[in-house]
Amino acid sequence: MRPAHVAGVGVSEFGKFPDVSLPTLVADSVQAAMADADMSNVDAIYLGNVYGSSGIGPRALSSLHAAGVPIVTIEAACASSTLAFIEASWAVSTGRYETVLVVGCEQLSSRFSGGIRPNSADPEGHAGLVLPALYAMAANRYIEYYGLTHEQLAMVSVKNHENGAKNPRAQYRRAVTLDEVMNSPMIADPLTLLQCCPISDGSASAVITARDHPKGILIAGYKLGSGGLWDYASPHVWGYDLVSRVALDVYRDLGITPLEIDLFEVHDAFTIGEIVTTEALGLAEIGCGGMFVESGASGLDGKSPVNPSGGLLSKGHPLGATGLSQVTEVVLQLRDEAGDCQVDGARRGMVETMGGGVSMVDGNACGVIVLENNRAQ
Amino acid sequence: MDERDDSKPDEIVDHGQFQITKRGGQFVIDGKSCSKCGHHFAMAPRECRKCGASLVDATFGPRGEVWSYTIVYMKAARRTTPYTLAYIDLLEGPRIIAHVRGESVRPNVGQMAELVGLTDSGDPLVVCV
Repeated sequence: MRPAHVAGVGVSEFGKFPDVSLPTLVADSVQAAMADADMSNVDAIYLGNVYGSSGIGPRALSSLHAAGVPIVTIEAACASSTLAFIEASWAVSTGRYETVLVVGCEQLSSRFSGGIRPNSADPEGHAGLVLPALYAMAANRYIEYYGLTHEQLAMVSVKNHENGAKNPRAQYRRAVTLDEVMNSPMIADPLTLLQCCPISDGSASAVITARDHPKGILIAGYKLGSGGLWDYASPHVWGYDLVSRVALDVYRDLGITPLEIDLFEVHDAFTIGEIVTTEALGLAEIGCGGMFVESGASGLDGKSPVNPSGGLLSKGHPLGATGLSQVTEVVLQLRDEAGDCQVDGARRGMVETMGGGVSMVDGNACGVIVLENNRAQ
Repeated sequence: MDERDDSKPDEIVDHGQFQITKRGGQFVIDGKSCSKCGHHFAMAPRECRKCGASLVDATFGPRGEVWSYTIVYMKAARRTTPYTLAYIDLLEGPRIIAHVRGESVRPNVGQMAELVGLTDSGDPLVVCV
């Protein structure tokens, strides 16, 4: 296995652009990533997308030079481009390709107003368990079982919006107060509007190469997993077991602990998601994720900054583009180019993306990636 | 004493995924249990999703415990809001998603609930007791 590096990253604007085509959003991020890497050719393209039509790969890339290289399309719900990145990294490390472009993209606002409709083939979807409601189930379980407070939930939103206000790539660049979060309209009790990520359109891209590259950020480790059975037999809320298992595999592979990671970009589609994920990643004991955010440990200046970019809550969540948007944020951090969101001295960062949810399955997919700046200071 | 043959259902209401049957005056779910590990399923998978072994018929409900709940205000799928949903862990049985009867009713985690039929849209309906 040879090392693979991220040579360049790029994102389109994230937001609600019902009149902007997917190929336009993709062209924005791909041209930015190729320019960032100072490259013009790749050997293959891996593309993550959720709600596209058949032929989404060539279709999404239809505004760009049709180089005729293989296009591999991956769908894994919210983790689609995280898995595309992992598969592309593997393909480069094993020698299948020298340089690969990874693209994530989604056009949601022209498809959904309000929220994403759940799949009625599942009993949950049929009963109207929209995604915020699935997470709200976890939140109420945590409130009553572990003593999580409504304020602690809201603090995740306050922290991430404060970070997002400093991020030029964020869909929402406005800090919010605890009162604003708690008094925003109720979506699925106990989750209020400002505790839920927005519907977003956007694209993000990265160039992965085996070549030495002046900007190269080492892809130090990664794992992916799909959920096993999640039902009455699990002592945990939905998603915990999967994220925990995948993260543990990564820590074991690298021989590191969570305390040896300088920043985390994690799946905070809903505030409770970040709380449960910080526990599953080993940053907090189970049931203590609320105290963890309240302590300030996950703040920009904390011992383990979580979502210094503003997370999905601020940055937006164009499903297929989300993973590579997280990768972009970590790469910029490790290149010391994250501007006002910069975590001082960041040398190693983690991306975690969780895709759900099929009935009785603990998440469609989870991808965890560790990136490192291993160049001499 | 009123003798009735409880093996014969009064009424079968096919939800599509759950088969809810009114038997002996009570609503129950006809599901499956694993012949090897004993895991319970409200739906009827082809094999045990826990260990892969074959399944046998099993009946669950009507009583269970609220694992968690939420009151949904978000508009989606043309439903009248708000509505309360709960995951119910049926006693000695599987977890099911259910609507909770009553407007903006707020159950507690661990509260007992009883399956009382189906909603107009065909989803399991419980009352908290």
